[in-house]
Amino acid sequence: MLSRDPNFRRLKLKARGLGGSATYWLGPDHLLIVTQDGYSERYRRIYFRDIQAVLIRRTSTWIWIMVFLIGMLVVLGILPLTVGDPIGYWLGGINLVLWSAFLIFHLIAGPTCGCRLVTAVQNRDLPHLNRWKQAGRLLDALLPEVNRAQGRTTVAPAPPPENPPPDAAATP
Amino acid sequence: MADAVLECPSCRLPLPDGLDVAPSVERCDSCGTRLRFATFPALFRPAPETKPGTTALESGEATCFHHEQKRAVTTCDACGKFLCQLCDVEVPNGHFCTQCFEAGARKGSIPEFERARTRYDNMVWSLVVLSLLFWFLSPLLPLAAIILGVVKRKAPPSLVQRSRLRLNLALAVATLEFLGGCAFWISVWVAT
Repeated sequence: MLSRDPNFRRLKLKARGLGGSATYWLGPDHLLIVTQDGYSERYRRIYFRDIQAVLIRRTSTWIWIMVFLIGMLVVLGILPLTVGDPIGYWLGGINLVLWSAFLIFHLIAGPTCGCRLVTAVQNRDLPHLNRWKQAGRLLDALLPEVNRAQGRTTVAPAPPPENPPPDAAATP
Repeated sequence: MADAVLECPSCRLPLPDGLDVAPSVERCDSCGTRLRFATFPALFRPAPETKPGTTALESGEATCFHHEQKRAVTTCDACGKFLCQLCDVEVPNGHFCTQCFEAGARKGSIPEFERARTRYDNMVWSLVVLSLLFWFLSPLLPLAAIILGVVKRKAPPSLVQRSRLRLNLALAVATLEFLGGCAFWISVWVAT
């Protein structure tokens, strides 16, 4: 098992989807992606030396899911409460709690995204990594490893802000 | 940095220059998609030179197993065949011929090449749960679960979960279901 192998470190990412889930492991010289879809487990190794870029793009799926959840909350949770029937109260109450919980989980998970690894020969979309926060964590974990493997000792500093704070501007 | 061009994943248009500042959050100039990206030195590295297709052979030199007119440059780490540059499949842990590379990927005999494993423990658990739902078919489904579990007991386990433990537990539950099912149908048969 990988968890007992000292050469591998599991990245604590929530990478789940409708069709399965994925776990991400940092190996000595590669990123191992284990995708599970019911009755099979697939492995994909991407070597640090080959990674050219990591691209994360925000998607609008987050908004559409939120619209759907709010719609379900209103139709199945709030409308039955307005009927005035005891069964309606029960059904509406249960649905209200259920869909509110889904909505809260969705809001906590944050915006959705697509994450892509670029190498010289392929652009690979990372499986089940569809939340902005989780993809950012993967990027943060990958940065030092890939930089080390490719011989870059320091990461270039971020560009300075366009409008510096007044204190900084006042100092000679 | 001549070939260092990254495309926006949404609109596929090239992202602006200055990509060696990493990591950063920006918006695509063309489609406005919010992006976070990091680039690495490999993006700016020139493409490696391709392997020469042929190598002139001089007398007394070892030749490739597959190409008698080509000089051997290495041996396959799995089967030991002499390989020319064309036949050499170089991986981080060694050199392989194309046959061993394919076989290793298919059979999983070389861990670095392994691409997939089947989760028989999940299959057995599915049969166990199905036999609870379709109890009137018992003890056929538990029997199928036991046979599958025993036959595939030596199959390579999952890399990330304790599939051997899960398989043994499933086998234990399937055995109980099988015995319970047998007892039920025997009692029905005796009663009639």
